[in-house]
Amino acid sequence: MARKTDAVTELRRGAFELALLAYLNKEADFGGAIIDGLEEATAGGFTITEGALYPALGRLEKKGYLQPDMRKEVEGRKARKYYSLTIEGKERLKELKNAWLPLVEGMNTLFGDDNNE
Amino acid sequence: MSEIDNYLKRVRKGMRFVSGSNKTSFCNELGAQFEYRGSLPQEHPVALGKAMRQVYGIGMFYRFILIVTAFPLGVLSTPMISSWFPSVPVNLFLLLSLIWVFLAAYYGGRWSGLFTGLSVAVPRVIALMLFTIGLDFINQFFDSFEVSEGDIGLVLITSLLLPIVGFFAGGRIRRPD
Repeated sequence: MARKTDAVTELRRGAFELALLAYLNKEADFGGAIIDGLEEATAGGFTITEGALYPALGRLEKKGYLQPDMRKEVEGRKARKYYSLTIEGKERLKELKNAWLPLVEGMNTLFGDDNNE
Repeated sequence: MSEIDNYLKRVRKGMRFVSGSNKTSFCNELGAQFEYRGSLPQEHPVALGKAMRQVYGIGMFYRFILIVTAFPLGVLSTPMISSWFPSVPVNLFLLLSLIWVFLAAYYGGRWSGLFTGLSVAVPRVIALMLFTIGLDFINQFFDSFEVSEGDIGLVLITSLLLPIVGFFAGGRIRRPD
């Protein structure tokens, strides 16, 4: 049976692509480190699992927003797949950011004093 | 078999019909992740594999198989075939063709859906041309066949719709949970 999604899940879904692109715009990173790094960079705001991360990375790579790069950093260990933003990825980030910022400002204004509750 | 090998084996199971290179690439990525974190992903391995299959789609070989097998379905779904073989359930084969196109679109993406739809449509359109433009030629060898305008319209519309349906149904849902 299909799982029902609530508004919170929908909000997180919508922001996830933006969060990933913004994080990878700062520095190229690989799967496991992205999970930890994103959680740290958003002060715990984005706690993600592999089940959400890898399909999202795959989709963004397929759309041409991410460029993978295999790096073998430690001899005897598996090569890691580092993701970085392409030019199209940077443009997409800009586009999402332009849509996101007024939305957040508007919502904060709407909440007003309720933010402190 | 180690813990991670067992996990990856089940991920591969979830990624059934995905191309070997994509399977290997993703499993290597998960292997590197295991080395880094020292723990297995929280997700059920088969569910994770299936989620990745939604991203990659099925491999080229399987897409090709769907396209090739759609052609005989197209032949058998042509109403004119009942001129030779009256017992052929053409409507059932038309329904099967539609299901085939949806399968190709869902698992292979919109181009796979489009080409599978075309593979069904081509023999139908050829049959339509034979039984309209080339009807005199056909009747030189067989009894006098007649094709109604309703049949012509129906075959033409369904033949045109199948590739279109395949293309638009191919927009697969790919969203993270």
